[in-house]
Amino acid sequence: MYFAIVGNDDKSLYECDIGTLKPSEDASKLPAPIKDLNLYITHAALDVVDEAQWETQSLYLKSVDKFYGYIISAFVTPGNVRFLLLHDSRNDESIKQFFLDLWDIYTKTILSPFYKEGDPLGNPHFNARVKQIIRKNL
Amino acid sequence: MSVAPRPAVPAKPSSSTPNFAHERNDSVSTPPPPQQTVYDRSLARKRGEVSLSAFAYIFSEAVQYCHSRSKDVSELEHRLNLLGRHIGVRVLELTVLREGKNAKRETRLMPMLQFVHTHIWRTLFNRPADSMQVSTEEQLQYMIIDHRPLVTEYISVPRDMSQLNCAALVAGIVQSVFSAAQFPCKVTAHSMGTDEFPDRTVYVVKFEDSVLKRV
Repeated sequence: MYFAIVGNDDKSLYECDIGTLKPSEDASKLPAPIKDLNLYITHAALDVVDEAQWETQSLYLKSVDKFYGYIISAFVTPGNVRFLLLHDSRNDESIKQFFLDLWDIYTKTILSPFYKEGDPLGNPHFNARVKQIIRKNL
Repeated sequence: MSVAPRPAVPAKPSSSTPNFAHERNDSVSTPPPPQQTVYDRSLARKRGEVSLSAFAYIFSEAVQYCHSRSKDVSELEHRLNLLGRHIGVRVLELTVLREGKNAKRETRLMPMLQFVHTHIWRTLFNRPADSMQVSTEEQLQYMIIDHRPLVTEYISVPRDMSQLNCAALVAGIVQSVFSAAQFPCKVTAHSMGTDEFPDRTVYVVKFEDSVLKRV
């Protein structure tokens, strides 16, 4: 699995690999190992998010895109920061909770007066929290 | 973020030297030692989070700082506006997050204006703004009106700068709230005192045309 946070101005703020994806039945048709494509597949979903985010008022957009049997789920914060998750199994409730927990720590991070909008998010405490949230929900 | 009167408490002198340990850890992936961080604290709303005297003091310093670096009133207001923009993005996320299960993104113009008028104002000042009007002169122009803006309450404007309205800070906050929510606009603060409310301030919000195209 792969997780990315994309900022308001489409700059990448955070990304991380989470475990491995189960090979899907279509995966043999892939031109390269899925791990190398994670970033491209996930960011390609941004176009879909751009349209989908005006269709609903909810923050969690569920699955927005598919790629050879893999699913990309998205979450848009009120400040238009996009959380994207590339995953292999459908489990809406736990993914929603995963995004909500992340939103909480994201907000805590940006509330720091030393954080400037658009700065990358990685700090050791943030990383530790992300790991904790992944263990809890995924 | 809300500011409520509260007896001033003398600041506690910091006893320990600043701890830069976490910065050295940056490149190493070992988990940080257990200690209290911002992530352990709840974002839930508390009453009167900020002391009014502390706020008034810092804000007056900020105004003087900007004043000493500006050559005229409009530059001073612009600097205050820029200060406010750092606050808006944060206030937006925090306000919506505090709605809990009802958290939603505003995708249409009128509900968004209503949200700023009511919820953002409540986060900032503990009360909704006093009224909202649609401009009759220009399209996509709206006015949010505050009869007693808190930020200007302790600022006395010298006579030769009568044009100045320090609520430019709030205008900056409002502008960045709208912009972060993908409603690009310009916001300016204007003093329009009445006999009853001498500090009455009108925030003029002028949206860009792109907002209209989407709606």
